[in-house]
Amino acid sequence: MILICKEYKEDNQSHEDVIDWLLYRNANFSFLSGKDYYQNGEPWCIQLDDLGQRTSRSLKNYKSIWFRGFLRHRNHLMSTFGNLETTNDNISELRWRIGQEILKTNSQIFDSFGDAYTLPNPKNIKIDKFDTLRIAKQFGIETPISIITNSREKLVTFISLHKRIITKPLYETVYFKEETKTAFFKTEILDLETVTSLPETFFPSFFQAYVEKDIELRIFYIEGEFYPMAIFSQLDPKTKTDFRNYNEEKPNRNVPYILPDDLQKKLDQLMNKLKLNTGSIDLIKTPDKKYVFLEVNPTGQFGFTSKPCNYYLEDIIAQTLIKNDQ
Amino acid sequence: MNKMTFKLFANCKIVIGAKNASICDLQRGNIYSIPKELGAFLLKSKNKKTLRFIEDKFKNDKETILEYLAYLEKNEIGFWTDEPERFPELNTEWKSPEQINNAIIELEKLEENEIIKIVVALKNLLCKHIELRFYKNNSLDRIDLFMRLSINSTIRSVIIYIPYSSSLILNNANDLIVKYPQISFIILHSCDKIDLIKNLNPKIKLTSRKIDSRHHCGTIDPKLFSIKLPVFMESLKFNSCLNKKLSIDINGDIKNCPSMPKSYGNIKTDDIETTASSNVFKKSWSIHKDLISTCKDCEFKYVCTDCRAYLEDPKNQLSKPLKCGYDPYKGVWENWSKNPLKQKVKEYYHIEL
Repeated sequence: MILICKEYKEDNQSHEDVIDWLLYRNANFSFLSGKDYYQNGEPWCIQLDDLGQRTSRSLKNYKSIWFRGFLRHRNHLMSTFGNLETTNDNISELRWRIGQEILKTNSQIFDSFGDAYTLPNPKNIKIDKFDTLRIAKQFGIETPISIITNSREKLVTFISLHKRIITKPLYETVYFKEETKTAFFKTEILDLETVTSLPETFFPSFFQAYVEKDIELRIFYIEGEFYPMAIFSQLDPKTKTDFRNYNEEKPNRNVPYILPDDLQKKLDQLMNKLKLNTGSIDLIKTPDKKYVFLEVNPTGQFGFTSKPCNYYLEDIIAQTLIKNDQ
Repeated sequence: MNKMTFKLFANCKIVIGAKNASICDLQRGNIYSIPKELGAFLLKSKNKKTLRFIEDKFKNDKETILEYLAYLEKNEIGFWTDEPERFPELNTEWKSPEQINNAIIELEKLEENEIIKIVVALKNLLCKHIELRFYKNNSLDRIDLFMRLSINSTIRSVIIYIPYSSSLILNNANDLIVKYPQISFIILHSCDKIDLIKNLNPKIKLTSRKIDSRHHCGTIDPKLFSIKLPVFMESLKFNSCLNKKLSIDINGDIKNCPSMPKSYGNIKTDDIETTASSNVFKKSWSIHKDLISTCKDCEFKYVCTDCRAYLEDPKNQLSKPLKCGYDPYKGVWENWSKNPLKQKVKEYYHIEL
């Protein structure tokens, strides 16, 4: 039996499409979400004793697990927080602590997947961007020159050396929506003026030399197979820094691409080292034909690559899950 | 920079017709008419060094070709590259995860037990899109029953055609839409009060057209072209209208299309799933455009809606749709219904306009 692990609330067309293929191919499948453990009020227990570790909610029947997500802990225990009479500092500390407790608990829940095939393994998805860059370099993959610093002086030197630089979050891209505006943690180009206006030291942040683009590459990777897509984001000023600043009216040209063999080999080594059997890899191809690795997203979007390139990734995922269910 | 090869983006496909060619932009949903010679040039030049290829083979047309290439580059239909072999063609595979993708049901006179039978079959066939048609009388009970049974299925969209009877129907339609989110549109036809009705739910459409019989289907119109990647790939091998389609007509007859005479069984006596899965039923699914006379020479053949119910030559299953006014040999559109050659055929089908 196949288990689809995702946040129930998340409404995602690509997930629906994979489920359609599973239905069409007569697969047996079921769903699991963090909600089943944290919100539904069903009792469960994981016990460690002389007989080993056991869980009251057995997942033994599941031989093949598609992992897309589990729980958003953002809203967790919200009502409890509302009634607390304490300082904001304590509340945010408490929130963070509870978040960590949830992560540790999840890790034990994932342990009950046992020997099941996982796509990908949930224990390997919280990868570190900076680590990944370093590992990529070890395999001979080009990466942007990267620094983490709190120093204006260092940053001024960095920008004078590389002319253009970007900043982006070390963790995930995220945005905060307020009534009148939205604040982003995202990729942004910095100019000298902005950099010189910073205080002498500031909150430690992640910077990279800007990589000139000919095209961007988004590659869906699954079990050693590569499905690359070229994104012509350079044609549109709106998407020049980050193609995710979509232009709805005139979408970027997205077409299939063929990677050089040696690059593919290196990327395969990287994914093996990261213990990821699937993921979306972002690269830039520079005007002088260098391939610069940016990051890998283990549970990234694939519909976005699948449809314009006619790759049928949804069916490939479904078939991979079915194959490993036998 | 020495980008020597001009290449079309893989999702901009050239289709050569008898007189003109087209570029189907399958990503942005546009279609461009181009001279046939240019289409042939682009197909042949492929990964070759473009300028040299022009010098070698198309020297006399050099200026014109270069002008066109500049136009195509400006409109982001193509690009210059020095690594053309890294940009492959799209694969032409087409598949879809259902036995039946879409169904047309003439629900007007069907009984409750028949409706139950139909929905069960549609669920098992993993059907995604439904069109419910009422020509003369509406029956809200039947719609409600159908929709209620369709909850928790693969059905993603339902379009309902109902005749406009009185303003009461507006409230009923609105209630249905609120109750069943799978309803994507309710089209109220034969409405003579369009101008008086304001503030409609955006999912309710009014039209004065009298869609009072199945004869209203089958019109070929550039406005109905579906310039999309999956449609294009499907059309290479399958009939873009009938493939994975199931119809139940007003009498319960199981058909490819309600407008076609051929019935493969009746829901009163036959099992819908078995009938829809039989080879005879599926036979017309593979009548693709390259098999159809005239259409095979048309530059719009892979984005066209086609129609196998109303044909220029009713005795030939491979003849051009009757209700198409395009002549690919002249490259012009005309009003098909005024064409004197088609009058006899209209009488044959009992079509009045």
